[in-house]
Amino acid sequence: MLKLALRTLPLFAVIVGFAMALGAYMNYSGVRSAYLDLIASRMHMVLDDVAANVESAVSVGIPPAEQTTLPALLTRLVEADPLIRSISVVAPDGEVLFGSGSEADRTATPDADSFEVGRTVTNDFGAPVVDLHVRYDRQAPTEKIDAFATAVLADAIPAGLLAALAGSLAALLILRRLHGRAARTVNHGIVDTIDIANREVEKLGEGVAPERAS
Amino acid sequence: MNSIRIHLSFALVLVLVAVLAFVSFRTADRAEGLIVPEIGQKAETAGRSVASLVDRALDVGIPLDRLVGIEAYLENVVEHNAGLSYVAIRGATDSVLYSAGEATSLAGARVPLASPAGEGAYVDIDLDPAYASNIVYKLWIDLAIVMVVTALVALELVYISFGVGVYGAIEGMELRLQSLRRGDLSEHTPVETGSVFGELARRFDERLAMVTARFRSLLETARTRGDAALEAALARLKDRYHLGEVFGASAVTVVAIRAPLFVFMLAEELTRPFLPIYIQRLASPIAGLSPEVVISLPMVVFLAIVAMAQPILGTVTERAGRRRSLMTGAALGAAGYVATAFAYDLIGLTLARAVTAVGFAFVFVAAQGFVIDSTDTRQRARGMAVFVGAILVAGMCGPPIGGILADRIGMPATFVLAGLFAAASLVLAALSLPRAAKVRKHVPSIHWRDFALTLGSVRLSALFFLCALPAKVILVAVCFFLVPLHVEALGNDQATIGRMLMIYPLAMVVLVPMFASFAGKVERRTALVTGGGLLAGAGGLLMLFGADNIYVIAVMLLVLGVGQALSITPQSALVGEFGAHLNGRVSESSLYGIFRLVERVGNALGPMIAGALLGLYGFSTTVVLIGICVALGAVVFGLTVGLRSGPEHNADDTADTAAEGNIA
Repeated sequence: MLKLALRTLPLFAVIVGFAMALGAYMNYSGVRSAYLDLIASRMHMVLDDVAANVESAVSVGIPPAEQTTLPALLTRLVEADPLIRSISVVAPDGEVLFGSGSEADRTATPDADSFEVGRTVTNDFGAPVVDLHVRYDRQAPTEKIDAFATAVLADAIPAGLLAALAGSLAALLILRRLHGRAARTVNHGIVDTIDIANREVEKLGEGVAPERAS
Repeated sequence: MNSIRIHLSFALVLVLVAVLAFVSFRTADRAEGLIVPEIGQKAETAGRSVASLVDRALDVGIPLDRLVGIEAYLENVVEHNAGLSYVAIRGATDSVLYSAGEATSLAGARVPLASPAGEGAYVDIDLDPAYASNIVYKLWIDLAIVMVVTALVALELVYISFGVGVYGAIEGMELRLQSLRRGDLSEHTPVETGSVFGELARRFDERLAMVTARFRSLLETARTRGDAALEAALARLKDRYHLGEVFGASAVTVVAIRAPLFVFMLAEELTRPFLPIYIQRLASPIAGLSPEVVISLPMVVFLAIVAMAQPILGTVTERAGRRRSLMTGAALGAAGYVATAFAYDLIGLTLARAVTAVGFAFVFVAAQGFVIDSTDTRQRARGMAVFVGAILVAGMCGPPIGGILADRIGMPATFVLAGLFAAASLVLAALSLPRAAKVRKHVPSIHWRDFALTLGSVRLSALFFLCALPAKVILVAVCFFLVPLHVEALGNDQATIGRMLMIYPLAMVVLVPMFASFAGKVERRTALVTGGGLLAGAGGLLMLFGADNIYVIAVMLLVLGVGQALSITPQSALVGEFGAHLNGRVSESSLYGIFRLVERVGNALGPMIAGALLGLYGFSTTVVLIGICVALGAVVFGLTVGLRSGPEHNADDTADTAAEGNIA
């Protein structure tokens, strides 16, 4: 019987494994995307701050290249957030007008170690005035997410193994119950319909036998 | 359905609920450690942003207590920044000057104003303490679907663990106990005796055989002697206990097809929620065709190949063997799905889908052939129920899981996963299907003459072209083409589309058996077909009232499912009924062959019609137009048949029709 129940183990292992993998991945990826979205929305907030400054200056006729208060603002914003590597204010022709952070961070295309968000500031006529870019660190968030993934995995693997074993145990109990009922029936452990029918057939047969004998 | 499978699946669900709940709670705990500091950072940034704005106002001389519009601005900050619960500007004495949202016990940030005019004042931000946990708890709908699907998958695959023989013995023993409990002493088909349950079943059968033998012997004696009283007494015993009868033969070997068929169909169903969207993203303009028609092309090619290949493949799989054919189909399917994942243009995608279609047709025909080979006429209905069950359950499980997967791992990766499922189907076929199974020649050969005679019947033509064909057009056009594209355009994710596509097969699974038994008792099947068509078509009209509301779309899918479930069984029965008037000039198998062919043509036409109309009129008008055509077709059919009434003829094709109801 135990052998029979254990035969469910491979199936339970595969099905539970798939369900657990999917469930754990859904948990992980739900948190991961929420975490990355939070960081990205924070960076957009920074972009919006810079954009508000540029827009208000442009609205009173100061061209972006002459907005001398911008470098101090950019430096302040970069210093305030350890994740930000650089903020760049780029003219429509591609010239970097102002920037905070290292030269390399401002000019090079984003590498594998950084994320970038950007937006275009337009004037009242809808024409682009400047492009704003915030480049921020990828490594630190990735390390945190990896640690989180490892923790979820550390929960999911033993839980999955336990589920497969518990499933097989449940199968054992279900099969034992069926086996018990079947064994009682075939071993005459209870009076069942077969016995009752048998008695009735025998009773009808009793009337026939003496006649046959005579 | 037998209780052993239900019990095992229920046990599995219980275990999974416990374990997934544990993992979810732990994840929620851990998520707080990751998310809360990040929200704190965001609160700091938001606080600085608000402070900077207020500073600018103060610097131009506006007093702190006379800032206009600041509360609306703060409300906007709370509303658009998930995780922030409360933002306030407090004066030097901590008094709240302006605020938005609800204060909580979880402090987020406190940013002082820099302007001298605001000395001592600061921006105060509180965080939403349940934010991190809610991220995890929002996943519970998807997790619940995973658990239900897991249970259904377990239900389909449970026999694989035991092997066909041992599982047959377990089910056989359970069947014996169930019939004993009902007082039914009919004899059962013997089961494999190599296992503990096989041995118990054998001993049970021996007990039963002794009583049955004694009963038969007495009956023989009574007849020989002309003892009417004894014969009558034995007849009463037989009526009460079914002594001497043989229990409806079960087709044990046919269950072997269930796992490979289910897993293969699951592969196709996984792609349902996002296939049109995937095509849309790869499609490039073709001169003279609207973008919507272009999107429909790979789907049309797939369904046209399936429609055309099925009549041909019957003979091919007969000659090559069902097992080998199914494995070939699974291999082609696997290759097709993986190729679809890596397709980078419309031509590549269409070719990949064409390969998948050939594989699909091979698997479908080989599986159907295997059922026919493994059953005699008494077992055929049960055998077909196994076949149909696998397809319907796959249709219910695939879309929601496919949608979740597409959201999480992307559409190409989900196609690769579908390829792995198809490959798993190949392995399961290799393991579970017998190598040297007998092949029963059954393929109906349809001649051109059969077409002429069948379509010459006004009632049959009306049934085929006004009911069966439109039913397939609306199913494929609405469920598999228009709804995924539209629901995605409304800004919903693939998981939502998958959940919506679950509605139709769910309605079919629940309602087809219910309506089928009702249809069997009703004389007027024509009325049911007409009513079902009207209802399905009327469902489309719901789009006049809320095409941009996914709940209205869900109701439309439900109404469509109810309408189709209502008409599908009587529709199939009417084929035999109307065909009887051809006086045997066309065989019943040819008649049904033509009927299925017309349905498959409807499948192929569905995306083409939907694509053409969508380009011209948009989603809601397209669905309404298709709905009106389906409803009108049903009415014209009803009138046509009403004017040409004749004697009725029974036909029972429920199982097959239920499958056809879900197969596109």
